[in-house]
Amino acid sequence: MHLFLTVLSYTFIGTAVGSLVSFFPSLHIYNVAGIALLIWGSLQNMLPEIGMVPFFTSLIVAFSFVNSIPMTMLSAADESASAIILPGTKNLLLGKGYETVIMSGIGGLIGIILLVAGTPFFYYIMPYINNITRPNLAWILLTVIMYMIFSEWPKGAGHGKTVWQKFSGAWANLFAGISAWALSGILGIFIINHSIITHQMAFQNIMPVFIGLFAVPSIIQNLLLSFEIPEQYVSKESIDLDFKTIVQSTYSGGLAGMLCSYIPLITMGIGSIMAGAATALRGDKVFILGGGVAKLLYYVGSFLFLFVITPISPFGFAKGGLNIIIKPYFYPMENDYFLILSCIVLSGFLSFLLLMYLAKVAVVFLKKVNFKQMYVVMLILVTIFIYYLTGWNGIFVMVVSTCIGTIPVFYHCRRSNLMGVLLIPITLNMAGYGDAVADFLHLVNM
Amino acid sequence: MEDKNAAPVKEIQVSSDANCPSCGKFVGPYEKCPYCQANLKKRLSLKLVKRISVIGSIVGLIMLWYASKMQEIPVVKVSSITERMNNALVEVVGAIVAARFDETKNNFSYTVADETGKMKLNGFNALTDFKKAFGDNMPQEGDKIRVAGQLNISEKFGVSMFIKNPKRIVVVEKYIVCEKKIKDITVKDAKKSFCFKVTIEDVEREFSVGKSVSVSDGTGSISLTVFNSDFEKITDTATRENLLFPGAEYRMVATVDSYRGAIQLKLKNPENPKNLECIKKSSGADLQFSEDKTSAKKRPPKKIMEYKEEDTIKIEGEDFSDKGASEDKPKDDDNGFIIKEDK
Repeated sequence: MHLFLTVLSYTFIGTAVGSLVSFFPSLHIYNVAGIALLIWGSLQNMLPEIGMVPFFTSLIVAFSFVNSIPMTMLSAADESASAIILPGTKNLLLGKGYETVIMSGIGGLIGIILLVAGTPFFYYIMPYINNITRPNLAWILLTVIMYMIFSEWPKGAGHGKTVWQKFSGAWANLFAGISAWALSGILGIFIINHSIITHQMAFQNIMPVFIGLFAVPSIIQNLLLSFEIPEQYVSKESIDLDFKTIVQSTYSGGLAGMLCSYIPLITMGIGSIMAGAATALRGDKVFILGGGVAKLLYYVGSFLFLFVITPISPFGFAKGGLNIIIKPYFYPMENDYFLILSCIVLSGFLSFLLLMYLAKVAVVFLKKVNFKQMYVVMLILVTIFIYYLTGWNGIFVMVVSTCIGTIPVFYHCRRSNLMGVLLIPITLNMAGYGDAVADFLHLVNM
Repeated sequence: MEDKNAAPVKEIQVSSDANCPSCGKFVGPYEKCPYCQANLKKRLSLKLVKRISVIGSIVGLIMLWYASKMQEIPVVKVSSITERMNNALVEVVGAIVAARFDETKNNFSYTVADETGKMKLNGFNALTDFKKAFGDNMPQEGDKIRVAGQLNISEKFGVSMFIKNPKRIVVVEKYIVCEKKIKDITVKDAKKSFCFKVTIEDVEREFSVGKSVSVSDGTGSISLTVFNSDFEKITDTATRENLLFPGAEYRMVATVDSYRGAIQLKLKNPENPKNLECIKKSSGADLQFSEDKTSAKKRPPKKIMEYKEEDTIKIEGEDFSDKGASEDKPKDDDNGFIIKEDK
């Protein structure tokens, strides 16, 4: 009974904290989890060990639901935003921001149902798939890299008076995409091989990079561009969804979610592009609802796989930031899966209820808030946050990352190209060339 | 439907300056857009921001490369490593206290100890590269090394470091194996390796995973434990086969160890020909060696190392003070040994 109450209470606390934090734009839950873990570490003797995983699990579940609010209504994108930011912004300008957020939340609920229903698949089939694919990850990732580069298409082709204008118009965003990919890859090689961030805080050494690549450029974009957000309508009776859309979104989002929750370094943006090409399903509603499904599977499913412990997968097959952050403090036991799954179900449905309430709060907030001031405050907050954890070196890394992160924003290419920051160095490492590249760059001198 | 009777309408061309550059609506001479509240006079050029992003990326990366290159790898003590240092690139200076090589999986691991604690270095799928780089000077037990690598800290496996590049290990002090006579072995030599010139006396006993051989150097006798896995590592056939025949003489590097209070020797890295050299074959060496798969036989030891109760060995937290040495009765161990210490 004591165990049940502890798990229950920490699930509630995690959901509440996660929902609150996710409501604010530009704060990624992995960064918040890092801070939470520092606090947890300092209070280790006072807090029950059994409460730790339910707390962090609920934190991530709440984020995957409530983060739709800043992403849709406050235009603050994280690395998964390319999947839903465009139709989301479009709906916002049509006064349908609330409905978009709820639609994304429904996608999250479908994601939870998929996690529950997929349990036999995770236990009896995934470990075999894992055993086959793990040794081949280097070329799988290389294929993903090639797909990402080649699937960028010319957006300005045909415009311009001269041949050169037409040519440069066609190639501008392709070149920007390849440049963003290459520059972020070089940044990743530096950070992965020899980060300048103090070794005392190495567990957060990728955080300034991600904030710089994704959060700060979004803030800058919102500070520079102005558009009037119309009054948002709060639909009380129904949501513009039909059965066919739900089935299509579950199919598309489920596939995207499985790709990005299982394959290391594949984010939701990349997974969604690949699943979109594979399923050939189009439409804003499929995009938003499917994005909600994929987002939950990406953040929560990838962590849940840590608990799929079978004789052929004794360490599970988790990926993702939370798994890396929590690894030094916790390892799962065989029968933890259902405990965590039940936390996810409880926290998911609670988060959806909170989402419905917080989305209404956001609609009121939109009328009253001065956007530019809010983004200035967020920029200051994020900078203080980075300074507190990683010092001036972290700030410098964030500034360089921001410069690279603004390339897709201003030159109109995919932001998922920026995931080269992890894909390139880790693929090099897996292929056995990582150290040779580091040596060539004189990054590690003994 | 177009009204044909309506007066013709001429489209008015509005100068681009009259439109809001933020929302595109007509604003005329306003200084602030009445629609989107954008400032129309003091504006930051988007072109400038674009250029800053590109130039900043390239210059920033060059600066970051230089900063990474110039930053020294911090040297840490094992005990000072905390969970927050997960994935940190650090340098550790210490002595190798254990080495394990797995040729089949191309893996190896070292246990490195400094004055504050121990940690593991894991080289996955890297043994061939290291052997190629180091040749005969591959770091071995006892060597003092400097090693740089990324920490991997987990609740389950504790602190370890991945090593993939031979250039990241520098042998600071090579451990030179000294010659030792059997009579000079004391409990203080536990876990240390020495060079012995011995003659095989007898196979004392066989157990499921190896054999215990009695060896002598003229000053005394001692048991040498040879595991089946050790036999498999010995590449030279003559060296391998003679090891079980009385009369064969060897020059070997062995580690002083203890088992239930009794001091014994263990072969050290027998795969290295320098560590195990047959200098005189036994007269019965032409007999075919075959691995004994029969059940364990129990025989009393032929030669027993003199061992005093006060010579308690404490190794890696184990306390042998009440084991074996203090008991007079022979007793069985898990491998079919009969342990008896004569006082």
